[in-house]
Amino acid sequence: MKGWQRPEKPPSRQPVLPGLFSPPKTRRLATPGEQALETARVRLVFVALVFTLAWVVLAGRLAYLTLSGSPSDFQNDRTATGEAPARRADITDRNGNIMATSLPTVSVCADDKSIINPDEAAKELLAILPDLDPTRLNDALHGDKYCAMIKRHLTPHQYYEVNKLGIAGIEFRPDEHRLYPADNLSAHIVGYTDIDDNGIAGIEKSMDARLENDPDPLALSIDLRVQGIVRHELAQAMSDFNAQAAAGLVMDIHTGELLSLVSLPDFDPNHAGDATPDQRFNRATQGVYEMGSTFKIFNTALALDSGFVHMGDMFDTRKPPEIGHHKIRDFEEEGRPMNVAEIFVHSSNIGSALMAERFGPERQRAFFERMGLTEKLSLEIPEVGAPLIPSAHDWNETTMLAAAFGHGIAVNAVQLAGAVATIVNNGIPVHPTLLKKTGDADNGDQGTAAVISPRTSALIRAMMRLVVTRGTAKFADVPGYMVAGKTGTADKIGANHHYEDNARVSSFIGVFPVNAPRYLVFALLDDPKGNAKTHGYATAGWTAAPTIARIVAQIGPLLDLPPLTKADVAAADEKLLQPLGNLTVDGVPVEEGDGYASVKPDGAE
Amino acid sequence: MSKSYPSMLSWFGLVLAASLMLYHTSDRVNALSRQLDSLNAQIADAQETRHVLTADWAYLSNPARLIADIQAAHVDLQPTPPKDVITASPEIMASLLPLRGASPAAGPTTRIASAAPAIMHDVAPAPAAPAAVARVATATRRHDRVFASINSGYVNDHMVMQHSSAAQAGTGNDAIGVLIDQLTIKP
Repeated sequence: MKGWQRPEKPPSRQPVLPGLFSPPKTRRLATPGEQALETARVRLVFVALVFTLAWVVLAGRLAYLTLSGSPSDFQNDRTATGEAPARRADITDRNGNIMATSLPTVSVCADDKSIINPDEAAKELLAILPDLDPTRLNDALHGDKYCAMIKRHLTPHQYYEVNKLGIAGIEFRPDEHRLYPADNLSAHIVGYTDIDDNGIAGIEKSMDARLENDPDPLALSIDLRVQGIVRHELAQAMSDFNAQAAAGLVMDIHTGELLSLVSLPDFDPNHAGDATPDQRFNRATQGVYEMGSTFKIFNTALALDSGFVHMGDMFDTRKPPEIGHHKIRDFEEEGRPMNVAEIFVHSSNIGSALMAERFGPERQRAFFERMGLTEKLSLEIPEVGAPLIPSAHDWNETTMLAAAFGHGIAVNAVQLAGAVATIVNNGIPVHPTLLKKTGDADNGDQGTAAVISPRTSALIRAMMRLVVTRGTAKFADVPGYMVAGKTGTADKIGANHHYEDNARVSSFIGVFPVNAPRYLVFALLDDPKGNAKTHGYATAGWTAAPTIARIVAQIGPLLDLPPLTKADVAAADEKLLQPLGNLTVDGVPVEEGDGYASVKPDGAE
Repeated sequence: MSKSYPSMLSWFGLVLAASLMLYHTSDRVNALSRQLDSLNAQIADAQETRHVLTADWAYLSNPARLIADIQAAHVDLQPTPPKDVITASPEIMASLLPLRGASPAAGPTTRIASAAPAIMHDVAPAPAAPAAVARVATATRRHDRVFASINSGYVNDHMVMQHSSAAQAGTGNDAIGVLIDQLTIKP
């Protein structure tokens, strides 16, 4: 088409009006070029607007963050928080020393599809890991699995060497290996795990869920130093007296925390698979023993507390009661009337039986129930032996007479310790525990009713001290520490269900310092035999009591108990024995001691 | 559109500056982020190493190992009998440890006798002072067997230090801390 020309504007018939009232100017139609430009311009403006909006939003957010954001807004979770990776929790003793921990290791497995030359690989692996079984290794490499396990828990050195081989198809998996740095010391308490880190004995088993889920270390009540000392001394005694087994414990009387729990023979939990059942048997918790004369503590406590027996009462041991057709016999017949203190100090079975006749079988069984000796002990490890005790129905006169001097009932060591601690602790119940108590645990027990009166508790404590200063346990005394306790030499029951003539279980339960009791120590020797030093005697006074003395001498300073001077001991003894009044033991008044009452002026020993 | 080169140029300049700043900041953030990752890896490594070393130390500090192997094989040490354990009050510790400026005296006994009174009237309450001096005198006559200990709770620390019961009951504050202050403050 020829040049287009703007047509002539026809004369307008409308009037010309001012300003807004003028008719809109007619617009000519745009040229194609002008149309294109217009479209482009509109699009450009649109895009610019979008970008501007985006930048405005960003700038606004940046300004907002800069001006008002708190530091927590800026932290991303890539910052290392200093927490250990999730792994099975450590088990520590009460002071933080590690008893069980998981070490990161590496396990090597084979991706069979990727291995190019299995035989060559087998040869190279055997060079580095010589203890691999060649046939099993070949099976693993020639198989068809995605990850055929070759060896678990490589050491870092082995890991480096295997990795250096550069064999395609050899894969590494992160793994955990449970390590017990304390070896035999933690064996029975901490237990051990199986290859998949599941606990199968001890604390590892009973607290398995807690160890898996909570990464904080689990603190036990055990003090590893005390544990080491107790085990050392028990092992020494076991070898000295050629005993079959030994058990020992140290318990805090106020809180019930077990500072030490030892059972011998023991094993190394790092090689738990090599342990024999005899080694794995926990003689302190699983083993139930007729504790023998140690039960005279309960007998005497009940006699005095029930009011049927008073301190001055005399019992004629020349007239022993009968059990079945057997007269009760004492180890050393005194053959005279004895008072309560003498019966306790000389450990007279006849005297104890006579005392028991006063209060009768029902009261005795009820007392044992209050002491917690009739039910299975609840402790934090699963290996606990329930007491062997006649039912209430079967509890007759004979049972009572035997129980008066600790036969016919079998309890485990921890249960006995808890009950004796209760008696010594002014009657406030003491519950043994293996976990460290934090905070004021005593407050919970303040409201618990006392099982015996404080006066009875004081009398028992005084008599226990006499046992050590005057009675069967002279070897248990440690200069400077007020050790008190009770020996127990119980005849063992043989395979034919009769008491053996020459086999015994010797034990000593001790409390120190008895003027303000803090700790209870117990040692038990299964079938000790006399040697030259003991003149052939294997009773508790010759075997278990000296062991306790050696233990107390070493753990006393560790447990923040300074040894007292002779003068202090004499003064404490005097105060301790006051409740006994004017009593005489073997003709000598109780307050005239044996060496402690006289202190040389210059303090020399 | 009007052709205004100056304003277009300035807008271009602004865009250039803004993008330069943006990329510079982004690059710095990336560098810091890489550094952060590297540090995190180092931290994790150090934690694992510490864990393994703690386990190793626990194994070496095993009391059974210490008592049996080291005692028997290397040193002829026996357990300390309680009568050789003394309680360490500030007076006793000050008299046993040499103080700066204290004149060396003739023998151990006389040094104790001369030093102890000088210290004692710096420490405010000194109950049972004669008994303390007597105890120290007894101990130093056999000073080769005196064994002061610190109750730290760790198995390879066979040192147990006990505050004297008198000092604990009387002052109620840290007796050993008082002693340490005195040792450092005294000229």
